Amino acid sequence: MTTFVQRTASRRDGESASGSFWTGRSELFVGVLVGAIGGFLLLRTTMMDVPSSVSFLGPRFFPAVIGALLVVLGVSLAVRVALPGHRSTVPEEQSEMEADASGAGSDWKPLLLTAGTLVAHLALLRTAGWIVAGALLFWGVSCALGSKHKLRDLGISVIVSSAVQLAFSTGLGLSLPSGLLLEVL
Amino acid sequence: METLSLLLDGFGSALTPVNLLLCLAGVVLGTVVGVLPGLGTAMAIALLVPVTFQLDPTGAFIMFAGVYFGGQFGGATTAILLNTPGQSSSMATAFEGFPMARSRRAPQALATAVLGSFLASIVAVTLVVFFSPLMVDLAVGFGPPEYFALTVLAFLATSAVVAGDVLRGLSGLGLGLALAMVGIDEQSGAVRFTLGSPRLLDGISIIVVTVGLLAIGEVLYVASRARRKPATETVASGRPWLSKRDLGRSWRPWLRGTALGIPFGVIPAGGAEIPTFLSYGTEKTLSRRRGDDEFGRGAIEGVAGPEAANNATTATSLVPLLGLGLPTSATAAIMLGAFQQYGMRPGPLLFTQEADLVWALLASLFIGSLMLLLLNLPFAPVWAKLLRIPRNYLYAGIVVFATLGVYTARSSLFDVLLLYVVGALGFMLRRYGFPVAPVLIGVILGPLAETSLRRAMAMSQGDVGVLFASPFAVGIYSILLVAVVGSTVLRVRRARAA
Repeated sequence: MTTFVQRTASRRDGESASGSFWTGRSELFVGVLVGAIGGFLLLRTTMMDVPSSVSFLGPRFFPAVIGALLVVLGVSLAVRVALPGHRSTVPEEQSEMEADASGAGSDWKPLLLTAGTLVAHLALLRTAGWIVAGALLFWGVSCALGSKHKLRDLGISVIVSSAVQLAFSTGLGLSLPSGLLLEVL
Repeated sequence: METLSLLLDGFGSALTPVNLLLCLAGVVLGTVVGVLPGLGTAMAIALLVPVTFQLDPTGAFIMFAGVYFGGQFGGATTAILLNTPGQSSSMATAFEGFPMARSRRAPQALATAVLGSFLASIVAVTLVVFFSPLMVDLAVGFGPPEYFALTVLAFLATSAVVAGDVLRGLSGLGLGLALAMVGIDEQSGAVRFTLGSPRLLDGISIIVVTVGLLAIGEVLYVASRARRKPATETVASGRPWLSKRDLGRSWRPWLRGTALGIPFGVIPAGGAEIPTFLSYGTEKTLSRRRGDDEFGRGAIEGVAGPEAANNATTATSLVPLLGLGLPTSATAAIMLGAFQQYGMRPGPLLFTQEADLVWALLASLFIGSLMLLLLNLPFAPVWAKLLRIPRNYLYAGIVVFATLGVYTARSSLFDVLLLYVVGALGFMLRRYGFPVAPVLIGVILGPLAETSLRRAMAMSQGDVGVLFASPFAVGIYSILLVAVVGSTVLRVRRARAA
């Protein structure tokens, strides 16, 4: 009874501030992920082909133990976050408070820009070659983190990736993908 | 005496021009990452492993050790001048160091930090030189049960005893162990968790995991916090010089800090944070007992003690790393991973088969400490200027370097994909305050734990008693039991008090 009252009360507080039950509870996702990885280990362990020569403690014992452990930990993490009265115990709360009032959670724009840059780099590395993909990687991350001179940084990025290409291919003898463009030429 | 002649041989091979240059490169790089907040020695070494694969292993490890030591020296500089500890082990230094800098005593604070670091390193490295062979003698008789006990100790000490939160620590450990299990099982040949992908048969490379967690994860985390502005103001400072009075106040804290730091390197307590705070606390208590109340306004003892402590811990962490293959901090775990990449296994075999490498490495620690003294004592304020490098270039450079290292290690685009996926995992862990050391230790020691357990069980035909048959294993488990019970009691008390 009391828990119900507390929960509705805290929920109302949360709504008036900036959100719902989910505010400050995004860690629930981590618990679910940890549990899911544990479940995956258990599932694949039961499906594993085991050579008949195995004696004591075959290749399935360790994964089964770790899988079970992760399921238990995932559930505990999720339950702890979902409990009413949960206060985010993330240690860097102090640093979050240092950020301006609107920055309670993550900064999505720079984060997504960085992640997008990584994906683009993956897609371009083989096709466009290192000079292009590497320059994009440097420029993308630099812009995502608040570059002040975007055009100048583009130049720096090309210099960096070209210098790396040169150092790796002539200096260390390691090959980086040159890309379709150079291959055609 | 045999040790001495081996060490002299070590100096012989460490003093070659190439190795001196690599040592210098290592300590300079270490100082740089130590000075810059957010970049740690663990990340720096993880990034170096794939690129140094072309070098001969001795040179590579001399460089890694230089980075490891340099980070501890550099961390103090920015903690004192800017109140921005470059490493978590320099946090305690900032408490008294920054007030000293503000009251125009920055040169003295830097001098006591660097001299204390140097003294502690030399004392601790000397101990390493003489104790590592003893550790090896102990480890010669180890079989699978003892190695299993050691891995359990490393796992639980880093995840459950030291970590701030048991659930998070254990989850990190479990994720690390899970990552380590992907691929062909060496003992039975069974294929595990590859989802049918032939690229995963060899497992997920340690390079991919360490670089992903430490470098890519960190950059994503920085991106998610991009609005916070870094401190770039440098406090002016003069020639670092200790007056007779300052020296008189410093030497006892140096020795006490060294004494506190030494044992912490040998136990898997997750690095040098704990001894630095212990040393800070000790100096504060002692000064209050003497009737001084300078603490809080810049007491030189509060800089001298913690700096000596963190360097002593860093040095002695090499004893279990080289002698047993037991990493006691995240950086030591990365070094162990690097040994594995070179196909070497720290422990008794390393001292017999790779004796040249080990003794050259140990000798280079003395040389590196001396280089760090010369680099940091006069030039500390110059290093602090590194903070003026725009952060976006720094992190963009890290991403490029991380990608390059992983790609060139196996010329595999798939590895780069894995790198970014592990990086996303690293970001998530960082974002929600999960410690990263248990993940690293799980990935790096997981295979050893599993193989030892299975070998032990095969030896004993399935009798669990074999795990507790040797006094050493029983000793390890008892220490672990005491530590777990002790930390649980402390936690419960703290929770009640709160």
